[in-house]
Amino acid sequence: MSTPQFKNTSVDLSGLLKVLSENLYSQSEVAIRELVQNASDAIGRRRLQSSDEFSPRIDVSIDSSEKTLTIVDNGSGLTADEIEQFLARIGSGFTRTIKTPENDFIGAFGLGFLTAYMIGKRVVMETTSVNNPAVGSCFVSDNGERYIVSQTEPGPIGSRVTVHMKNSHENLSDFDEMEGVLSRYCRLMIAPIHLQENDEPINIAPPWRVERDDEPLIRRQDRRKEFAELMESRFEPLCTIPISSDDDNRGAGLMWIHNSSTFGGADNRWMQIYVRGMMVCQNKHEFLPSWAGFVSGVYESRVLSPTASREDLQTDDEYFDAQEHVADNLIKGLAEIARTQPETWRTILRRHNDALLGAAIADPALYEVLKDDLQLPTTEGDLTLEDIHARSPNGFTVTTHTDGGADEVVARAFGTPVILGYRYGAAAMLQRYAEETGTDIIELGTSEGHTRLFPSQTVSGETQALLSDIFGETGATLRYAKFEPDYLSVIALVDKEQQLKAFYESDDADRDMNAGVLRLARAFTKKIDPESPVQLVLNLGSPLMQLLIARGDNKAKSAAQIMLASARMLGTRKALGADGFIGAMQTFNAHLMTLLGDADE
Amino acid sequence: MNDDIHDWVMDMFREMLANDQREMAYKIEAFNSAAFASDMEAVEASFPELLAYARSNENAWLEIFLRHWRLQAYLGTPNDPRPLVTEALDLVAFAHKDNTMDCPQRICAIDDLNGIYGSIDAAGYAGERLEMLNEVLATTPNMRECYSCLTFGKIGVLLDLGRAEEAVDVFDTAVREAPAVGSSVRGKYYYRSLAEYVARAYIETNRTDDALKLLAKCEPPKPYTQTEVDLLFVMAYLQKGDKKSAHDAFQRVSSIKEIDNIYLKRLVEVIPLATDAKLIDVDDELVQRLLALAEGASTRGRSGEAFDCAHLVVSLSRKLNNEDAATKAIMIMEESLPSLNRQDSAKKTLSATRQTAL
Repeated sequence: MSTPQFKNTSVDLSGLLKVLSENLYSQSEVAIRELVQNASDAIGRRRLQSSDEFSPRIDVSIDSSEKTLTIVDNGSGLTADEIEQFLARIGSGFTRTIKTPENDFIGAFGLGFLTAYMIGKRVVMETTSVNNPAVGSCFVSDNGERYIVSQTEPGPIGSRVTVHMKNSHENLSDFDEMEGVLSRYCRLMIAPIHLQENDEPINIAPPWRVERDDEPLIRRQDRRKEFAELMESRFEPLCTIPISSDDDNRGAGLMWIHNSSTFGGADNRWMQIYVRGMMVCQNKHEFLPSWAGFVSGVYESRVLSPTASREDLQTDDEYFDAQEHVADNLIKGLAEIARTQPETWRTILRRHNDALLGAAIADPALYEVLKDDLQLPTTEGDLTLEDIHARSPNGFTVTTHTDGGADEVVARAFGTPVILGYRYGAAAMLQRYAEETGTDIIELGTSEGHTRLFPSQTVSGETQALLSDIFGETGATLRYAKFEPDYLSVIALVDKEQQLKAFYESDDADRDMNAGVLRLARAFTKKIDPESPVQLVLNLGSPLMQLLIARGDNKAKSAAQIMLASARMLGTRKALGADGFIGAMQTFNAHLMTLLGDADE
Repeated sequence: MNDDIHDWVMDMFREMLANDQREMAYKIEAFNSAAFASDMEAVEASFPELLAYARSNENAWLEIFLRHWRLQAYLGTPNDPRPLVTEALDLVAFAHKDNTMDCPQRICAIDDLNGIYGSIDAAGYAGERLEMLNEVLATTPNMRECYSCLTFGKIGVLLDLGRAEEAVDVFDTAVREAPAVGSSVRGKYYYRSLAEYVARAYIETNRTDDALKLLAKCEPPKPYTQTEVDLLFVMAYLQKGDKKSAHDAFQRVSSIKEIDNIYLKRLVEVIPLATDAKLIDVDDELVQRLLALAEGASTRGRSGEAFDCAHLVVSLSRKLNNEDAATKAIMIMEESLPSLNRQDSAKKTLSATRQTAL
């Protein structure tokens, strides 16, 4: 038996190029970005390798008649050996060998130059190295599979790459198209990039690179706003929040708040990510906290790692650190605006109150910033939590139902603002504030809420018997309480658990419901003491109730039925349904007529 | 009639956009995403408003959709399930009214009830849950998505009853006969259920290779569910006698220290196997950690898990002669007992545990 031997794997170069060019990158225009980035890295290398003074410059030109794209840089250039070593060997990037966190090199994979073959049928590079300025080299390759390197007369130090475009990519030799691509990907690069020899470079200097601490704040704010307006395409920026850090390894950038009204839960986040000046993600919205639906921004980092295609980021520790950095800056920025720009802060609150409510619930740090300023919807209009707190001596009152019952009438009569818990974020925000301040919450429509609003009174057996006689067979449980306002003499309330008990233990449930469900339901409902689902709370503090007790005659009984009917209509309309409501109306009318008849007599 | 509630919601969403109700439409969409991610802060922020919207428009289907997904979101957290019982029963009652009889999510309200009682005392309520699910499955067309949901629920209940062979049969039959189940098996959405129920059933019936194959295919939709999958890997590899792979899988379980109550049921199954195979030492640290988890489960109303975990703590404490931990664990068992439905068996277990431990 022969000994197994290691053999070299072989590469189908044309197949590999096809895969790289067709599958690694989603759009052919990224070839332009890659070539400009190579030029930018070459300039960085020249700074590193040589002490000569030079003004960095990249020129991009297109010739629509010749269908060529030319990129010229005055970077380090390449020697013939370097061409062999790095240009003609896939995956062997020059930049990777010298890249450190301190410099601004972008390349890492040695794949960028290949993208030229996505758009070009022939690629020519004429180059003169800073390390050997007396000799020039020329690299020519058709489709990337074969190439020629020849010695030429030396040119200026740097490289000139000419791409002869494929017919399918002729659109890239259009000026507007090229300007759009360069603006999109390269405008934050540091080396000036000139299109068609225009004196004005396409680059812009982002605020975080040019701001000085000794500049007036207003100047810095104007510059930030100007930058935000330039970058934002969907919303007018209302104000800006810088992203900064004392740590050089953390990124910098700018965020802005949208000057358009949003609703709670709306997600209009937009975040563009640059790595060392090159745009990597057109919109990485998840880089912003999930609650920041009203924020856009631009973030530039030296340490984030792009994926091989450089169209996304690797989700590594640096990524999560940067996300946290952005969130911290956003919260600090909002706090700063609240403190120093009251007018702007009021506008933010007006525009995004609901969204901020949701945000405050989601983030404890943001809650601290917002809790004093956000407004909650109440029966008395929108009020801050502090205002509501001051006007709610017995605890916060909240309703989660749009059809307020008798208990809401009581709460209103006290002059207590009832928080409309059915509006976005209101109940959840209130819950957090109540926990923090140790304040009770009285939830209308619940047993606990009823107990708080209508404190029970002990009544003698004699009075109980009298009241039972006056009110007759009500089909409801009578409760005795004393509460303000005293013009409410009877309140009808529905007990949810009793309602459930009545339903699940009824014959109807036997007929309609799954037997397994009934077993589980009845295991629960058997623990509930049987009472009527409707409770009638008699207000013993009411003068009318006292009069009924004092009279105890037929007139009192008729009046009691009228009071009951009106209480049912007021408090349990939904629970009674249409038939019950009509029944209560009929009772109301019939007893009123009896009373009037008695009066005639 | 639309058989798929998600299609129906999407249709409603488009209709709302067309009728200039953009804000509410997007809120419903955001609620749906938040509920699926069990992001309770986001769910609770928008739920009351959306419910009020559904009620004011007398849109009973939307009301069922919202209430069901809120319950599901809550069940995806380790929080106390007991306060949900009233709401779940009310939802079932609401979903059985005349105007909601055609709503496809009517059935899902029953699955909510199954989930809640499964969280309180899975084994104790297994009989009632099985009866309930059998009845619903018998009347649910098998091409509906909810049929597969209920089928996975039934597999889980059968496992709680110790009827693993039957659980596997149910799964095999359902995949063979119900197109919806077949497609769900392939969809990511149900992988958690697969990991939890079907793979567990395979392990119980010694179909270890099938379990491993299934687990290898699992792509949990949420990162945290990977822990569940890894715990099952440990069980399967140990059953196969592959201690090295079991060890690797156990290492992947983030750390017993960080494990959440949500995996407690599985952890309680895995720990005795892992200690026997010496993947983890029985020491005071492990006992204290499990004790804390049992306490947490008890506080959160997960009485069945609390009882079983505390029972495990007692047996581990005996090995260490840690009387203090055993006493605390027995107290947790006593506290959990009243909420259990399996009163007879739990009382016997508690009595035997007391005798041997103290």
